[in-house]
Amino acid sequence: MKRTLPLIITFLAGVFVVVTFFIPREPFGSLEQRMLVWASILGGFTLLLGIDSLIKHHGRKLARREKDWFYSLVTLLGLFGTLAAGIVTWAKYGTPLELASLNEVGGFFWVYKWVMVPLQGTMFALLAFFIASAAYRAFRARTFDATLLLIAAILVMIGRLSMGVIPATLVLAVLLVAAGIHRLLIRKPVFGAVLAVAGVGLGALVLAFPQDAIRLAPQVQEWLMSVPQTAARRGILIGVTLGTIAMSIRIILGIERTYISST
Amino acid sequence: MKFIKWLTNIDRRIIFLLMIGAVLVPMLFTIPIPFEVGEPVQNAFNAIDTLKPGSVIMLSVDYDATSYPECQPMIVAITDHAFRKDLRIILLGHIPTGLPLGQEALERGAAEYNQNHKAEYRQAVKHAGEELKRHTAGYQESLKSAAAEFDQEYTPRHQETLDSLVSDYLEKVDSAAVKFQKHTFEYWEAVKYAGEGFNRHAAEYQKRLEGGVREKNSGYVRILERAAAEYDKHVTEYQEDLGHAADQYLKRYGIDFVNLGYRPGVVAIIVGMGREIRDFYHKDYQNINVDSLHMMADVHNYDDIATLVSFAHGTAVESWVAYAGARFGQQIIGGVTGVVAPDLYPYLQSGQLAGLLGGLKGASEYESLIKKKGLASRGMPAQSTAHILVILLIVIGSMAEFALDISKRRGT
Repeated sequence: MKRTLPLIITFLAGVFVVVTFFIPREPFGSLEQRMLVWASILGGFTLLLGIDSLIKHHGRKLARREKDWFYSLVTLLGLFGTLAAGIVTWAKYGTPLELASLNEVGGFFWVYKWVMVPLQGTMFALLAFFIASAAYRAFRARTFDATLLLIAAILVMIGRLSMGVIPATLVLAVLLVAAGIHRLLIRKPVFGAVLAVAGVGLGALVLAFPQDAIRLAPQVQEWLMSVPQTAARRGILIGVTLGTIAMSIRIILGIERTYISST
Repeated sequence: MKFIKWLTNIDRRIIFLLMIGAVLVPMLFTIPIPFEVGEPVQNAFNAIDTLKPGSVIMLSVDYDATSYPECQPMIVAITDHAFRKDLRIILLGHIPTGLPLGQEALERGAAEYNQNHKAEYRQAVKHAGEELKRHTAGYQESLKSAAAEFDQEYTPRHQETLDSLVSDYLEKVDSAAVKFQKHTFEYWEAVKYAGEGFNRHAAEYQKRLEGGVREKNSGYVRILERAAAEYDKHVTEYQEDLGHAADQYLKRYGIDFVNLGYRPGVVAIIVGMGREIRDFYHKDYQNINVDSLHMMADVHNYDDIATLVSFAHGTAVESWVAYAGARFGQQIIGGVTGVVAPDLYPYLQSGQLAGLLGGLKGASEYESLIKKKGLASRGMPAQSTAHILVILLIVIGSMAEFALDISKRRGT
């Protein structure tokens, strides 16, 4: 019964949602709306579950003085500190979301603006450094495929530049020539010649028609994004969607049961 | 050879330092940059630019501070554009920690718009006051003339004249209210109050008029004049109210924009709003009843929303497309981070997205279209130098690798 009941509920709910989706007429329309409101309310409770789980996990770590317990302390202080700021602002203004609290030290929006936003921004800004380092180490034109990927990536980056299109394109031309010479030296004459000629041609064209190069760079980027990239993306999208439909049917019919238990 | 080996494995701390320089240096200088506007951004601009004044657009804040540099300039630019086009804005979002950023964009946009249009607005209010005064003078003349005629003979014709004057006045006040209500709530209230006051006054006047019929004496004219003087006083008060209204901002919360806040359940909310927004958002972010917000009176579901713009750093735009676009035919524009933009090109090509702003570049292109240099335009040089640095590093790494490979093969 412990497993059967959830399976029955899943089956009924799944079939019901599908039926109401395709039959918007009454009473299905309003029933669907009611279920959507329920889903939203349930979503609210998942937030509570999340908070409960967070407090339990970090509280336990803190109580047992486990490794990195200090970070758990910071997490809990952040959670309760923000809650306290919200309650204080609520008591003062009747709502925790009063914009006037932006200028009051310890106010809810003050905490948001001067603690949360900079912290989140800083975390994300670190990506610039890691991406630069990772790109330098991982993007090497070692093989044919890697070279193609590299050329496409650099062309997209050049297309998104607001300045420095000419030097960046010349750098790409130099890379193509170098890659071509490398292939020629390791006795891959066809690919090597193609790359070298492409590099010399690109460099010459950019130097001869710099304004056209600046104008064309975003168009090349747009073409790469909207044709080859979209073609691949669409294939993946169709595959993912078919997979999602198949998985949904399996869940509704009770074939897929891993969501009930991890075992 | 040692140097080439070093080039293939530059210390990451050097790369970090170079990146700091690449980002900081362009920020120290103002670099004028011409922008080529891409088709996805141009389409997004056109979709908003061609909307009729008064149309409602919905802005969904589906990002938080992590994507502030890319998404905030977009929402700022589109808010600015929407206010210029006299569009009404509904703000909501699926990431609670991002919504205040959207509110900030709206508040700042409104304040800037109000500042830019203050003089213009004052002029319009002054003109309305003058019109009203002129009308009042004419009305007083009519009153006096009616009184003079009535002193000799009262007929139903006079009653009709008075009724017609009253209704004419109320109609004009109503028309003024409609014209200005979107600018300030206070002004609308003032006009409404004036209208009600006059209506009350007119009823009293009629009562006195009828009293005059019974009396049929010379004191009747005096009564009329006193009534007219009282009315004149009332008009003065009305004009003072207009003056107060003129001091208020032009774009106001509840009239031109609202923030419905956050509700959990992304898909449930998106689908449910197709039937009735109030089922999920019956109160706004400050707990004010949505029905009491003036601009929400005629907004119930996607039928009442001209365009929806989702600013996202995740998969929110795809959810909007799948549930609001595919099912309810809602026109959707995406404003996303550079990383997310490639995911949305299939939707752009199929017409499920009316336009797309991708990353800082997309935001800067939109800024150039609305002819306003904002956060994105200022950030683009730094992003460009960072990109160039990454390209240089990749090329240096690859070339060093080639050299190393050749030397290994030759056994040197």
